[in-house]
Amino acid sequence: MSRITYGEATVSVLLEKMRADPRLCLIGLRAAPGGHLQSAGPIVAKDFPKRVQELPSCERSLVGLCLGASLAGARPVVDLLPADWLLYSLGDLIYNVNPISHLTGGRVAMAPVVRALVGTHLSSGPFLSGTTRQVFRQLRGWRIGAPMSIQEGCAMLASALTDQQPTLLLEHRRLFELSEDVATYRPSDEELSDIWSRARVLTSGDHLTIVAYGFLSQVAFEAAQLLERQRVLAETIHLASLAPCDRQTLVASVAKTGKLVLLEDTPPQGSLLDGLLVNLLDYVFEWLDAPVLRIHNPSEPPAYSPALERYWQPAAETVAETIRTWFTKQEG
Amino acid sequence: MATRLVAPAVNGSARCVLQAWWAESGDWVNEGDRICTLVHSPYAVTLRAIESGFLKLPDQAVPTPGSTVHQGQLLGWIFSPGNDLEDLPEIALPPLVTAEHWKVKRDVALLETARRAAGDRIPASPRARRRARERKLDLAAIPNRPATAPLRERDIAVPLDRPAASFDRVSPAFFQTELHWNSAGAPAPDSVVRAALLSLSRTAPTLHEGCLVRWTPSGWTMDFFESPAGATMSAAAARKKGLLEKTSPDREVSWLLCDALQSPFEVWLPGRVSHPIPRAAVVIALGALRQPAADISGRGKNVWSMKVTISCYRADGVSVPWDVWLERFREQLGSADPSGG
Repeated sequence: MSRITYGEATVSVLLEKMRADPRLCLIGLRAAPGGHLQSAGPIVAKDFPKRVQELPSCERSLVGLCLGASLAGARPVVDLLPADWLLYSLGDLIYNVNPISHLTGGRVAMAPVVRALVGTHLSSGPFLSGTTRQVFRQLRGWRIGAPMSIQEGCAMLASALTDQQPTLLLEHRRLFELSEDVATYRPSDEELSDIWSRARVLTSGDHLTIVAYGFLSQVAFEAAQLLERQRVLAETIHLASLAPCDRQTLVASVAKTGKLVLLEDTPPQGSLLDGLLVNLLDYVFEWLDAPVLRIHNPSEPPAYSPALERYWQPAAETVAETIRTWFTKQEG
Repeated sequence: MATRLVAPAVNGSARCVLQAWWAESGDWVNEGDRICTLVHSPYAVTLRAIESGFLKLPDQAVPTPGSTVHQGQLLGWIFSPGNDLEDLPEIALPPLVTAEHWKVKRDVALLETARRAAGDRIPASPRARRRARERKLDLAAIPNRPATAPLRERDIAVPLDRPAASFDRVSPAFFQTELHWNSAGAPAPDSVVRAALLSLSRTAPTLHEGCLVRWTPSGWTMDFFESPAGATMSAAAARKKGLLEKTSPDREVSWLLCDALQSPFEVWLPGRVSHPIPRAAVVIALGALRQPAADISGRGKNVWSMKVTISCYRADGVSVPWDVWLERFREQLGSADPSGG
C-alpha cells in the first residue's frame, strides 16, 4: 500500500466527482505540476482537458470566470488560490453569489467551490499566508470549511462538489505535507452528512475549552496532550466547518468548563473566531469564569525567512505553556 | 385571476421608499404602463403592469408617496376583464417594524444546552464572579440567590442596601429607623454609626445579605463582638490596637438600642474613624429581633440580633457605591489588623 498525500487524496476526490458530474470544471492558476501551489490542474487535465482552465495570475478574472460559469449552470472549482489573492475578488464573492440567489428567489443558485490556501509556511511571507482571512466572515450564505486532516479535507471537498451550495475551503499549507497509508480515500455517507454540522471534540476535559480550526486544531490537540501531563484537562474542539458553525457543541463545552481559549494563526486585529466569540457570548456570558484567552500570530506581516517564519507558526509547546500560565493565574 | 402587485427588493434592500404612484385605484392600465416607482438610493425601480387590466389598490393602508415599503408587501392587484372586482382577497398588512425586529434573537435551545452542560455551576456575570473572588465568597452560598437569573454584581457587592425579607417577617420586636450623620457631626447618631461601622468592618470581607450583628448585652460590655460570618474580635485586642475607645452611653443611642435590648449597655467607638467621604450622609437602618442563637462559648440562648443596613449618599443625593465607601473606610482604619489576633 502506498502513501497518499493530502494533495493526491483531494485530487482523486476531484477526479472521481468530475467523472460523475459533467458540469464540474476546474479553474486554476497556471503552475508547474508539483510546484509550490500543488495545483491539481495538470493532473486533472490529463483526463479532462476541456474541463480545466488554467490562467496566469489574474485573480479577479479567475474568480469572475468561475462565477460566470456558475451562473451558466456549471459547477466550477477554483483550485488552490492563496486566500490573500481572493481579496481582489471579494466584491464578486460577497455581492454576486448570495444576493443573486436571493434576488431571483432561488431560481438562480450559484454554487462555486473555492479552495483557498492559508497558513504561514514554506516562505509564504506577507502576501500568501492568508492572514487576512477574517474578511471571509462577510461571505453570507457560503459554507466555510477548514479541514485538519486528509480524511476531513476529502470529505469536505466531496460534499462541496456534490451539494448545491457555495463553498470556501480554507486549506492550510501544512496539510499538504500530511500523508497516510491508504490507496484512495472515499468519505462515508455518515462523514459527508456530519461534516458541516458537527464540531469535533478532539480531547475531553473539564478545566478549559480550546477552540481551533484547520491545521491549528492539530496544534491545539498536541497542546491539550501536553497540558494533560500537567494536570490541566482541556477540551479541544475542532471546527471543521466555520459556517455553518456547530454552536451546540461549543456552548455545551464552554458552559461546562467556564474558560475559553481561541487559537488561530491570524493577527489579533480581528479573526474568524472573533466573530464566533461575539455570537457565543450570547449564550455563555454568565458561565464564563475568566476572560477569554485569544492566542494569535504577531500583528506584523509574516516574514519570508524560514528562520523567522517559525514565529508565525504556533507550536504546541508554546501554546500549551501560554495556556498553562493563563490557567494558573485564573485559578489563583 | 388577479395579478398581484408585490414590492420587490430594491438595491438588494428589504425596505425602500415609494416615490410616486403613476396610476390610481380603478384605472385601466395597459401592459407596460408605469404603476409606481420605488427608491432605495441611489437606485429606483418602476413597477410596470405585466398585463392589461384594472388596477385595484387596497382599501386600507395604501402606501403614500414617501412612505416605506417592505419587500414582499402587497401593493395591489391588476384584474383582467371578466374578473370580479368585489372578490378581493384579504389584505395582508406587513407587520410593523420595531426595534424587536432588529434585535438578534437568542436561541432558547442553546441557552438550555448551556444550562444543562453547566451542571452545578452558578451562572454569574463576570463582575459578580470577580467580586465574589475578591471577597472569597462561594457563589453557591450566596443567600437569596435568584432562582433562574444569573448573579449580578449587586447581589454580592451591595447586599446591605437590600434588607432580608425573612428577617422582617419573623421579627416580633422589629423596628426600623433612619439616622442621618455627616462629617460636621450630629453627635448622637454618630456613635451608632461608628459602632455599626466597626462591626461591619469585621464582617465586610465575607459580607452578604445584610449584616446580622449578634450580641448579648453582656457581650458588648465584656469582651467579644460576634459577626454572622463567625469572626470574633476581642474588644481588648481592638482597644489595644487603638481601634476602640470607651465613651459614655449616648442618650439617643440608649433610647434606640435599649428599646430593643431592654437593658443598659455601653457603646465602644472605634478610634480614629471618621466619615470616609466628606459631605456625605450615611443612612442606617436598624432592625432587631430576639432569637435563639449560640453564644461565643457555644451555649444556646435567646439573644438579640440586630441587622444594620447602611447606605451612603453624597450631598447631591447620589448614592456612593458600597465598595468605594468601604475602601475609604478601611483606609481610615489604617493598617491595624482588625482580626484582633
